[in-house]
Amino acid sequence: MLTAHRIALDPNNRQSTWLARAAGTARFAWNWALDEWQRQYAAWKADNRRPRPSEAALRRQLNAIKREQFPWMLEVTKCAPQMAIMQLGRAFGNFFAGRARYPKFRRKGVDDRFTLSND
Amino acid sequence: MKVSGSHIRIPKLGWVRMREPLRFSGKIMSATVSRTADRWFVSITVDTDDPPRRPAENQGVVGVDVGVAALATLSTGETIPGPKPHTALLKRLRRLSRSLSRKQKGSRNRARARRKLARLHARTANIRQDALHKLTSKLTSELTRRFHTIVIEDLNVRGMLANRRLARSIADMGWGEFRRQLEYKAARRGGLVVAADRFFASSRTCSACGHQLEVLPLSVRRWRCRACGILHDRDVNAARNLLAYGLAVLNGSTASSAGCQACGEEGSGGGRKAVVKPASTKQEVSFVPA
Ligand SMILES: [Zn+2]
Repeated sequence: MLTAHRIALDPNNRQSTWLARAAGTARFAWNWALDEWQRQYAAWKADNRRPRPSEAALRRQLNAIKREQFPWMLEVTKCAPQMAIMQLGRAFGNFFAGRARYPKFRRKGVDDRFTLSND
Repeated sequence: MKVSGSHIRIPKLGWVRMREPLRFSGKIMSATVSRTADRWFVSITVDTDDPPRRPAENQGVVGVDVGVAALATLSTGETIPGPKPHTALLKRLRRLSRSLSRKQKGSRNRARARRKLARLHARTANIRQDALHKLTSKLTSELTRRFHTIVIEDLNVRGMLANRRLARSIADMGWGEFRRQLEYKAARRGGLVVAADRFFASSRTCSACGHQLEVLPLSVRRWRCRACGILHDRDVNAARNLLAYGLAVLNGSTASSAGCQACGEEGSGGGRKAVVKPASTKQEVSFVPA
């Protein structure tokens, strides 16, 4: 059974800055992937031979370009952008299944968050 | 990512202090770090063995009426007052909102005012959440595990929130969250939550003789039945009716739980449908009406 336990953190100044940056990275990755998803989806609509956007492909795409284009992403945990895109994939899944609305862009200062995976 | 006592190790950052150790053992699946107002939290998902919880000891049934005056009224006559945090803190909320709106956009003073307001909102939410968790835990477990089945109303919360005179008080109670918590907590113990039909006249039916009033304004807290002369407390009466409803549902559908009809109810004819959420665990309700 999956159980979640939410615990308050006591970060020091340096740590809370880092947390905010990680959350910012996650937000950026989400917004980048959502934008890219919309672009690729439109391209696929126009021409069915183009690939349909997918969460896994977007993750690979970001990994390929982040070193040159977004070097600051490497300063926080790699989980932050990665999990954000995986969550976007789930959001689209929920949307296509009729359970949720179309995913929205995230805004700074609203629901700042990032997720770590344990592997 | 690793957890050890009251510390969590976040990759590339190091050990961060937590306010309490993780309460569950098992494999840690993931952790989400989030910010509420100016505080950081971590939500740790653990794949744990279903913790053994003692199921309800007897087969008690209780009707619960949620209200605006009191958060909940049980058919036993107990009332649980709600904290109404939003109503209580409204003055401060107004003051801080006004203060924020007067600050120049982009200024540090504005940022500070915004943080203050955010903290107050978080506080309101915390107070409400605390009260709801205490109440639902009490109903599903603590109260000497008296109740196996809990009967509540299926409220049209969104519709009621459209009433601008009542919306604030209703939202302050958190009825939707109350039901959500009740359902998952009951399911964990193998209990049952029965939701009475949306059009079940729980308030304006006499729980003693079944006489039904045409109207019962919200302002009427107590009323005397014209047919049998009993003096009713509005909420207790409603809770008793819900209890009767639950008993009828359970009797009408022995063993098979889902989608049963409530029989033996007077009123607008036609079997009423009841939503019965079966617990995720084994479901053998050998039910003895109290
Ligand atoms: Zn009567």
